[in-house]
Amino acid sequence: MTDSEQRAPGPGDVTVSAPDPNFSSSQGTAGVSVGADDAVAQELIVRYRRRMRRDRVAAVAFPVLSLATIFVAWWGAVNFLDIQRFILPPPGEVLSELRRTVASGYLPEHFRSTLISVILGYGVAVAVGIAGGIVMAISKTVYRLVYPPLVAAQGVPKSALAPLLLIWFGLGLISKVMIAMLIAFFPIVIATFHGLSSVPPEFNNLGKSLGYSRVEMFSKIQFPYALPEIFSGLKIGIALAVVGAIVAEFVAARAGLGYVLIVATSQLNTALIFADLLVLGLMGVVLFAAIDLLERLVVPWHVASGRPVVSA
Amino acid sequence: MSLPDDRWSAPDGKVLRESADDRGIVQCWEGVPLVAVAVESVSKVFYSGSEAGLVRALQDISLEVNSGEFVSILGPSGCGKSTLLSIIAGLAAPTRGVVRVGGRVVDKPQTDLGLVFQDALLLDWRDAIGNVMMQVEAKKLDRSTYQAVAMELLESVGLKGFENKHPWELSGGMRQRVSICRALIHDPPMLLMDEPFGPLDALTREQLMLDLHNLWLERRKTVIFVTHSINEAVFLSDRVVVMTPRPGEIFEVLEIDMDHPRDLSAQSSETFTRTSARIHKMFQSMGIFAKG
Repeated sequence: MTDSEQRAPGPGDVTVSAPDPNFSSSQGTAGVSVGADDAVAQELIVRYRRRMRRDRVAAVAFPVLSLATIFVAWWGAVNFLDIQRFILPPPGEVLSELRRTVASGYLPEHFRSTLISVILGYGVAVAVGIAGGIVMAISKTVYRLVYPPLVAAQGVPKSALAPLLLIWFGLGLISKVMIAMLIAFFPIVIATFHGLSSVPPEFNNLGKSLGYSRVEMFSKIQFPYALPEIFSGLKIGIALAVVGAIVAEFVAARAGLGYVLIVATSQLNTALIFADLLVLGLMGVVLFAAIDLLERLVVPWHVASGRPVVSA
Repeated sequence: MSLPDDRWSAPDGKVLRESADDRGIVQCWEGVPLVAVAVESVSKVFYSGSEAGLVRALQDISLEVNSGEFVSILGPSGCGKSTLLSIIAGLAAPTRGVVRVGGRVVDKPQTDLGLVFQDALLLDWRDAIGNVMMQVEAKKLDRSTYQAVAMELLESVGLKGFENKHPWELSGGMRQRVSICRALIHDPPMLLMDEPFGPLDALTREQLMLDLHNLWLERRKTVIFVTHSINEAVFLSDRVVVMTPRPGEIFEVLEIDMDHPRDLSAQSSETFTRTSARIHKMFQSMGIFAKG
């Protein structure tokens, strides 16, 4: 790089040591002593950028590597351990089954059916969950009325309600939406309530001294303050909404990726099961990424304040 | 006890900067200082469950703060000094007694003064200038006029170039400076500060102390400054109100007879060391410090 004499000692460690420890502590967390000259600064910047670049590459390369390893192990296991096709089909067979069922429009149709249930169920869960969390945070009476039964109801697995909903709403969309909604609702309502309740009381005094009304207090301080936590609830919720829709499709549907799983199982079409799982995984990842992106747009301060400090 | 009207403001609304003392800070009318705040026999009692029992936070506090004066309320933790400040700000009601600001009884949160809390209380989703502008938006003042005022204020506390930084990009000292700017932008006649330098490191505290002193000299605000630092109280104040531990009572009010402007060397002056020693002795007599 640059002048080697200006380098700090130690491999990979480029913190410039200050001559006097008392002096360096009074310099706070800057890490570079006042005496650091241009060459050292340049060196630090170069190393910092290199480290950042390496981190970015590793963030993509490592997951790709682990996925590739899984596929190779899968392929190897099927070929060399003589595993029967209906137990574990080789990756190639899964891919060709995927291509076939996608081209015929079979999987896309069921994909659409599941996606609609997920989005509708999640949408209702978000609306009801956020509204419920707000009302509970505002009114202690509502909180007392609603919260304990809500927590108690959480003891019943939502998927266990599917047979009941089948009786009430019959086969089809409504049952699927209901289950997806019920299962996604809980983390959203809890996160909203908790986020709104955890605003430090000093902010209340600040708002009063600014002459804020209750509405302004809520819209200008309390709600934005709670947004990062609300989003953590929303992210858990979207993953659960997919689970809810699939479980509902096992029991109470004639369409959807969950229904395809039941059909494929009865036919011992294991390749189709894997193809279906791949599509399902894709749906989950894309939906989660969408909420994550939304968070970055709506709550940039939270994402940015969590940015790691990379020291060179 | 109630003050006559002519102690609150000069006749015809004229306020003269004629001074009662040589320092020329306190606003007077015909040689008598004008009063900004009158605390009249204020007591405050809390009850928080049987374990803690009845907490007598404040016991019969009476105090007058003159217009333009810098008064520190100094006392050990839990002596009710922050409670007193909240009562003056209208954020808490006294159990007994009354507080008047500018002649009016305080019975609701005061919005025309500047409040600085121990925590900077900045909103993470607003940048530095956005946090300062909260005050302007809340009071529906003209944005474009005050945008310039906000920039000036930030510059005056050494934050030029940091206007668009967000709180998490600022150091603790910088955040508290932003918070002070937010308390000053609407040009309030009075600043209430509740241990504003509490969580900061010693050097930053000293710097902010100096900055506050200069700001006060420049802008002639009435300041009530709550602290547990003898150093800050003596350095900054015209008068220091020394309080006892719970129940918080006024132990003594000390006049700090040092010239303005003060710089850090004032801390080694004879008056400064003598006054600090006196306050130490007072705290010792209350049992705050172990003998030794």
